[in-house]
Amino acid sequence: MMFIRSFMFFLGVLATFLLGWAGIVGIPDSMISRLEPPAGLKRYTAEQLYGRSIYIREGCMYCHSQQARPRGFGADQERFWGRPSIPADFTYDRPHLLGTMRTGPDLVNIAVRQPSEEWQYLHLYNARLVTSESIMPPYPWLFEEKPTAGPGEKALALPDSVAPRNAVVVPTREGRALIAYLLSLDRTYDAPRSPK
Amino acid sequence: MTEQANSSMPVENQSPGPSDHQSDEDLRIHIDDSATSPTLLFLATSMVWLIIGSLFGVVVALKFSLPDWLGSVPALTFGRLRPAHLNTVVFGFVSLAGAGMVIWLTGRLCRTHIRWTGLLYISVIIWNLGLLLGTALVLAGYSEGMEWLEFPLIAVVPVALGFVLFAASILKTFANRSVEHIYISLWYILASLVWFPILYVIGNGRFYQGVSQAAMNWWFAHNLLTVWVTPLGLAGAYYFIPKVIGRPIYSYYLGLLGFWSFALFYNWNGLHHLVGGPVPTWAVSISIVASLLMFIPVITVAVNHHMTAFGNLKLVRYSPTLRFVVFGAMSYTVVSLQGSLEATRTMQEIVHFTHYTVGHAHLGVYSFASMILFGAMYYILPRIAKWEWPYPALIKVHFWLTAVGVLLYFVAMEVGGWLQGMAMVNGAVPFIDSVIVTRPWLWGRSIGGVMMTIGNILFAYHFALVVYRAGPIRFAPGWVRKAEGQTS
Amino acid sequence: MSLFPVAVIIVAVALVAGALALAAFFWALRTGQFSVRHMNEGALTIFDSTEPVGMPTDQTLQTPQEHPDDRTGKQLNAR
Repeated sequence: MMFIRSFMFFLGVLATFLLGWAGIVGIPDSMISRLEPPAGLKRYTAEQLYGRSIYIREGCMYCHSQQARPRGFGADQERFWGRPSIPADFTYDRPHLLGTMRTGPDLVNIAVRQPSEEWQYLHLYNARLVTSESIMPPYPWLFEEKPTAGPGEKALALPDSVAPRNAVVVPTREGRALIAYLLSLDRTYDAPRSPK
Repeated sequence: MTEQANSSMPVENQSPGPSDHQSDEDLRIHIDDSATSPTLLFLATSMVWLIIGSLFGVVVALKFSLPDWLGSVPALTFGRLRPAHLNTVVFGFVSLAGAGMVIWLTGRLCRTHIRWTGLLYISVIIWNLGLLLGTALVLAGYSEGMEWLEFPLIAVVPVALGFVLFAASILKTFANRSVEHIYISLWYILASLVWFPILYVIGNGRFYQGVSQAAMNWWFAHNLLTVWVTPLGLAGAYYFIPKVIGRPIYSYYLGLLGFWSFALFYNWNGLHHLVGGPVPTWAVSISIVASLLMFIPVITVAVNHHMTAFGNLKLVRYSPTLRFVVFGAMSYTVVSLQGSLEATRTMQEIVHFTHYTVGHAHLGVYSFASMILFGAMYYILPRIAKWEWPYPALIKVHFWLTAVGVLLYFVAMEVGGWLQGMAMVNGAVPFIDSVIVTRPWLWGRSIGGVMMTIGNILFAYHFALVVYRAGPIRFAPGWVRKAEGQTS
Repeated sequence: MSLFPVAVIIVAVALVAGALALAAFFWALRTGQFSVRHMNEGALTIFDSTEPVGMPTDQTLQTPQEHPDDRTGKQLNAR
């Protein structure tokens, strides 16, 4: 009797757990994994992937989302953050970086909204140089100081108050990769028609 | 309630002869003794993570207001400290303290000594090593990139193994129980022992990508509450409230209903973290419905606890355990009802992506689960260390600092988060307005966080005093004197 | 992509799960799991003869004079 009761308890507990998994993970995954990647979605290049790993390392997704919401549900469309995101937009994202907080703005189409490399580097070095009210952390370790900019390198146009004396600031390889990743974030191609 | 003051229930089905004061008390002390060392190890290490995790939390909170503070140290940047804070407080403090409580509670509820304690010693060592490794790796920049799943595999494996060994000991003890009835707290404990390993493996495995992975991520993160954190809190509340007051749970039948509706509905909540996101709408809708259905188990629990305590709440004046556990149990009702409403699309449009959600999370993990764990430790520790808490004043300060601190934190975040959300959904104002409007509320949050941290540190200090038998000898209930071999 | 096969699966699973749950419920009803005596006994498990119903078991903050065991004011002996 005791064994039957214990066994039924164990079964019930297992079933409630697995049913939940099936309903909100298993079945959605079986649908999503069958989607074709949209024609406009390009795979990440090696450098963009490297930059993506820097994005993860520094935890950018804890303040920035990467999912544009539809019109009528928030002001994403009014802010021109891009057309509403669809599952296929994230086919090549591993891990996903959808994010859950918007301490800073959504970034899923930041390449379209802020295509200037110079702006991006300055902002990454210290966000308050371009937006005085920003509370984004500074990332000086993604940059280095040199006597002069090397070939192909562009020194940051820092204001005198923060510019080092007798040196220029240029991004490191990691900094360049991160910006390369950010400038690849463009999901504004037309969403393929999909049955809902 | 119609029981007389000393209704003697047969303690063991198979014990010959009458059970008298001597055997019941001796048995209880014997059981507590068998749990002493492993419980003490789990609780003591949990205190270390409480301090570390709280300090991480304070720095993270202050960085919202002082973004350039410590701005040149990569290991202390917000994006690394935040996951360090989350993982240490949940997989460190809450989990280890909860496991310690479970060990002691299992002995009591099964009326038998703990089995396979060797496994518990191995468990606490590798679990803590895994935490140390994982935290160091995250700070050094080796995160796996998903919330609640940041620890690299090399840290996940020891934590998972540690849990499995712990579960084995509990199950072995349970298999040797000498009670006929499985008390309601044990249902939650046993369920969590089945659920957590499966959840942890699926979550930390590399089975998905893209939006599917996001769905798995938030099924995992919410199920951490479903299968582990909430069962710990409820197991504690269902035991300590009636035990301290001295009256049985009001309606065991309600408890049964509460448990199964909890198991049925709570497992489906996960996608309420992705409302409005690129996830199939029908799946999100199911999660919202399941979140609202949680009214049923939550209200049954609230009714049960309230009716049990009804008329006896003045006992919180004398019992720190009751004080903390009742505070936690009430917080459970509030945070759950809030969560059910928060999951609706109406609320989500405004509060998703804001500090509102973080405030809700702290009401759950700290105000509900942690406060109940504090209450449990106030009860358990003297009974295993054989030393009464030396400074009642310190207990009161701990309570008021943490209670007021978390309430301040909660209010600051809900108001700040709401204002942030209102600005965010207003297309007529620039995005930066949603940042500016939170400024004073983020300071309030930091103050609340500092209060909680100071309270935690004071508790850890007091905890150490008990373990080392320091401080004034205090009057203690008879069982301590009996255990020391004194006659009354 | 049609949702019909998905819906069929979900409904089928729900029906089976519901049937199992109902079966378990009626089994429990039949074998007396819900009897009042059974329920009360379960709730009383946490008490015993030395910590019976009606006796609060934690009064750490209470003054010694009010504690039934400490009315004599006796202290614990040395550590």
